[in-house]
Amino acid sequence: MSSGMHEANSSAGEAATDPASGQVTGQFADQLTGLVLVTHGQIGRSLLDVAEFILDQSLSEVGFVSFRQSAMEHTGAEEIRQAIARADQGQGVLVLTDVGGASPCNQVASVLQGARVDLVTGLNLAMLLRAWNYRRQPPAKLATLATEGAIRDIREYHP
Amino acid sequence: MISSRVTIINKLGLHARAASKLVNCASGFSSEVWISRGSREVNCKSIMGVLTLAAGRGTELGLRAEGNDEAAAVSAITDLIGNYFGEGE
Repeated sequence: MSSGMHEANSSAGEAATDPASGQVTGQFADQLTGLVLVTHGQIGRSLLDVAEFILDQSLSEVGFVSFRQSAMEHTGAEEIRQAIARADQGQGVLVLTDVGGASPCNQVASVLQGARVDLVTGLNLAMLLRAWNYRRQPPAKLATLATEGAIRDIREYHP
Repeated sequence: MISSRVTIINKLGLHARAASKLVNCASGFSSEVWISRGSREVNCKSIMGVLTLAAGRGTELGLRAEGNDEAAAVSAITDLIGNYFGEGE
């Protein structure tokens, strides 16, 4: 896979002391990292709907590309490139996909070369909320924060 | 620093949307704000942190704030929780 991908356990815990507001100072302070979800079926759409309900705000600026289960061959790299281009506000883009190694993820990886795009797999609701809240961070840093948020939300309960 | 205790009284407890309202409320203040259940204390401006408290109806939580507007922050959060997060029940 591309070097732009971030291992799930990279830098876990690094951002524990980050301000929850996601506010940063310096060259990125006034910019936002674009977000694009690339998922099987309507997973991404559903997560966006739920996130909008929870946060009570529109996430319409988050791009979404669906891989249709019955016609995956029709969803291609070009659609992903266009979604990334639309989402890019100048600071770069972070793409979130569901299962690593599956078609959505692989198709994104194929268009990463040379682009200001980072990719994180294992999308869940916690990851999306965290990525949205910290989107003032540059893509690589945001990737780490999103990964950390997703992992932190996976816990075992043994009552 | 100011600290206080508050009990979750709304029917659904501190669920995701309520947690979002709590975080929005806390984020409106410059003070640092923490909320705790037992020995577990989290940043009250982090929705995922707040959700880890898994606080259902009847759960007593600790509130702690430190900063210029700490009293107002604790007061506003206490009001929000006491007002059932605006959910009516």
